[in-house]
Amino acid sequence: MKRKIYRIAEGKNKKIKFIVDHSFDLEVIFQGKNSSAEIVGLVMPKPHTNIIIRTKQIHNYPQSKSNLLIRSVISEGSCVTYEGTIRIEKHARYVDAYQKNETMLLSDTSQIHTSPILEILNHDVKCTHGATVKPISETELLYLQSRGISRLQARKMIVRGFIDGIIKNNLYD
Amino acid sequence: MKTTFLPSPYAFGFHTKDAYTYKSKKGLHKEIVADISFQKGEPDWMREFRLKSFDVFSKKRMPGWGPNLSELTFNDFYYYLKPIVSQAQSWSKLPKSIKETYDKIGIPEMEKKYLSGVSAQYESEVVYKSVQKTLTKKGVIFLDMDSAVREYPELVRRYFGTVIPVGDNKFAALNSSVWSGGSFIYVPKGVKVELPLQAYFRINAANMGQFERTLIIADEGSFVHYSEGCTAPIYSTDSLHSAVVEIIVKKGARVRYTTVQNWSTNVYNLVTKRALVEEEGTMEWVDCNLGSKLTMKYPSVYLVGRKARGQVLSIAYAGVGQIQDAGAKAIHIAPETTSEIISKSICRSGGRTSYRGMVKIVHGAKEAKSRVVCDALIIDKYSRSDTYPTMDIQEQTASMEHEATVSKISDEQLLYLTSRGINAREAQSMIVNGFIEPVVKELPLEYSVELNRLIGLRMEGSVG
Repeated sequence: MKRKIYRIAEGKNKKIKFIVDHSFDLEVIFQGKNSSAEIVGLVMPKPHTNIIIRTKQIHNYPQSKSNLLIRSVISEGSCVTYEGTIRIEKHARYVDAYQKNETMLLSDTSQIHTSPILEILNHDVKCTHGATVKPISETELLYLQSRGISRLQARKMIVRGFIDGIIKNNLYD
Repeated sequence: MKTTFLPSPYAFGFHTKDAYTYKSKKGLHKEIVADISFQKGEPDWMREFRLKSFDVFSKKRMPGWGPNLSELTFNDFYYYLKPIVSQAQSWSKLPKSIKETYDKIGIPEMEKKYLSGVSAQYESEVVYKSVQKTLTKKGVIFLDMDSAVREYPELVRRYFGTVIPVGDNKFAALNSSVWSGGSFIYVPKGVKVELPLQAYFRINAANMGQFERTLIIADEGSFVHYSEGCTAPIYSTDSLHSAVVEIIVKKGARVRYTTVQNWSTNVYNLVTKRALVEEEGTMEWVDCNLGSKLTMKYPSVYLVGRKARGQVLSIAYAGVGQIQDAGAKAIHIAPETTSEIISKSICRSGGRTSYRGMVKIVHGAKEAKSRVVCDALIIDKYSRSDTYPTMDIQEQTASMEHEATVSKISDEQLLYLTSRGINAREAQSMIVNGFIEPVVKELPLEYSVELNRLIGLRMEGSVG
């Protein structure tokens, strides 16, 4: 398993981006006031593999800020286990932490196992997480098909759009 | 302003002296289990069930996750107590000490106004029961579990332990071997019970465990609302409460189960609650945990039939020395099933709240939908809030949403209210009551009034 640890010093901002098809362990530790990080990740396992993704956002210092988005596209026969933790220590006031995990299951045999964990030891914080698993929307497919695009092509476009959100950083479409 | 660490005096912390005709020896052995069965005059199958469960209990390990249970020693408790009167048919025949206790909780007034039936648990046995004639007319069975075993052995035997098997977890096995009291409800096909059925539970002796066993069967197309509220007196030694609640929702039926749990803060409350929901059935759990030292409770819905629906609404409040480890479980086994979990938790003065939940959508549960929202409010810097959800999705066409937020009471909201001339304490309790409103509004009237009052009371002195 590959493992990466980032330590973010006072006042620093770090942009972290990863695209993986294997198990991956990411730890982001905020070691100074006003430190912040934006983390985006794309998880695309090869068919018939099981992988584990772990992320940790550890807020040791006040006023630190983190924003995490992980998208998984899971192909045939694969399973992704995602474990995402936000931990805010006792003395870390005014922390703003966010974690989001979005998943698309491409095949009838794909699986996702997701556990977004929050451990909050300080009251003066803002901490939110979200996790969604959504099938490809019938409405979107229908729209594209009504424009003369084949169903298969339409599916590809929708999945492509989901992936591009991470690759091209255009998350607001 | 300073924050006080003194626990607010427990509002219902009183107890009356009473005599027992029978009290089991302290501790738990095979002989005690057999003795409980003997004292109750149970049929062989139930005695064997208890003994088998005891074996499972002895072999099972304590849960390897969640809050610390190492201080819990099973041999410190009494497992069965039998009050002097075993069954009283009317209010006037109840012993005075028991009546006094009920007066303080307010049963008689409530009975006049709302109750269609009371099955109040006093110690380990149901001693007071009044069931409206209409219930019997409709064919509804509403009994305490012990009577049900005697009067409807076939029905009980068919469903008992089918939703929560003995080996499900250590506490379910414990309950299966020493259970006592609880309610049994059977609602026949197409019958709708308009008024909520209620039971009042009470622990009234130091070092005594309560092990209710409740079984509700809602036959096709029926509806029933069952509610339980608990208050218990304060004792210095720890009490153990470990109930098992099994609910079977048949095709097109709907069951709502409301709990307001307000045990005193020395009670371990380790409860297993589960409902099996068949085709187009609906199960709704409304669960409020305010009291106890440690609560571990995860009401579950097993959606086994097409279009079955499950809902869990919960409130958890943890104050000084309290841990509320509450959550919910939704297991989707059939297509087009839907579940919704809404959890609100509040912690203050060093209390800990945790949301622990699970959503599982198995392969083949086409177009299943699940939505989980958990919001936590941390009032002060001494408290802690955790969220441990797990989502296991094996179906491509399923959709699942989960969101959780943790925050404190917002300064803007406080400022706004105080600028309107409301004092800080009142403002805080207003905000908290607003926070839990989505769940409280689902409670029966008398519960929601009581709950709002209780929250107000608990929030006193918390402005820091």
